Amino acid sequence: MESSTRRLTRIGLLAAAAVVLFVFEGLAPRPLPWMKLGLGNLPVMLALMGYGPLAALAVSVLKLFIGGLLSGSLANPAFFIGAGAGMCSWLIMSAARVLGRSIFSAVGLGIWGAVTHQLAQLALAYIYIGQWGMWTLLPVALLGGLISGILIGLLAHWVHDRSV
Amino acid sequence: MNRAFKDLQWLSILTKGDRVLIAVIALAMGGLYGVELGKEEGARVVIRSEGDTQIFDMADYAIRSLQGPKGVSEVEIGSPGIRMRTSSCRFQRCVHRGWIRRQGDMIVCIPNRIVMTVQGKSAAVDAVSR
Repeated sequence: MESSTRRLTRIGLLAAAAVVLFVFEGLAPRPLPWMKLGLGNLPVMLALMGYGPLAALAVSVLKLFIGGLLSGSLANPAFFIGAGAGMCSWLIMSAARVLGRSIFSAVGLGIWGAVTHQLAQLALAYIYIGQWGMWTLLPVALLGGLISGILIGLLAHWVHDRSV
Repeated sequence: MNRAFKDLQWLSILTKGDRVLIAVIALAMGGLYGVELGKEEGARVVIRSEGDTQIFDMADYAIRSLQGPKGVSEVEIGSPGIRMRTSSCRFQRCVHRGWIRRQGDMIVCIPNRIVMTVQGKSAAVDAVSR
């Protein structure tokens, strides 16, 4: 068993990595503002896989707040939409991990997380904008979630395998 | 490095649950695309703005000005379908929605209280409210 100091350090490092990935990904050019690979979710997943849901929550919250502060997006509507989606994503990934430990691999977790993030984002954006037609984006959101979920899941699988 | 290469045959790390999850999402996606493409093109458009309901044939070119609480909104009916051409609302979401043409498509401008719905030939107006 790892000591609690080691555990705390690891989670802190994961949070730091999450902030860096989150901010750098935000700087990368992309065709549409919500089309992101979700690299910031990688450390959240690693925390979940290595240290459980609460550690993942800590990494996710730190990522959102410090990342939001650094990128200047804290407290604008896009931040709230992204933060809400991040929390939904954390919840579903934790449930999939805890309840379905032997059912889903890291790839399955990644897909749950990314698809949930996309759907929650769409739902929150709908609440904010109130434009019914935006649900036509649903298939695109699912496709994006599926692809990015598989990629991030594979990355998480490799990194987790090597860090033990 | 070698290990990462081996793992490139990543199908081997997918569990049964993963595969089912991927299949379900892919099916849902296909279904949604199918529904969207299967919608028939509309024949007319029902425009509800504050206090009245107007029906236009989509085959006839027209530009209509509607008075709402935030000012005037201009609706254009043309060959690509129907759109909000200009609107005096703040965020211009209705304008950015672009052209719509399929049955059931809607453009909603909440600030200026306008709802435009594309309908088929046979569909009746479900309600006229004042």
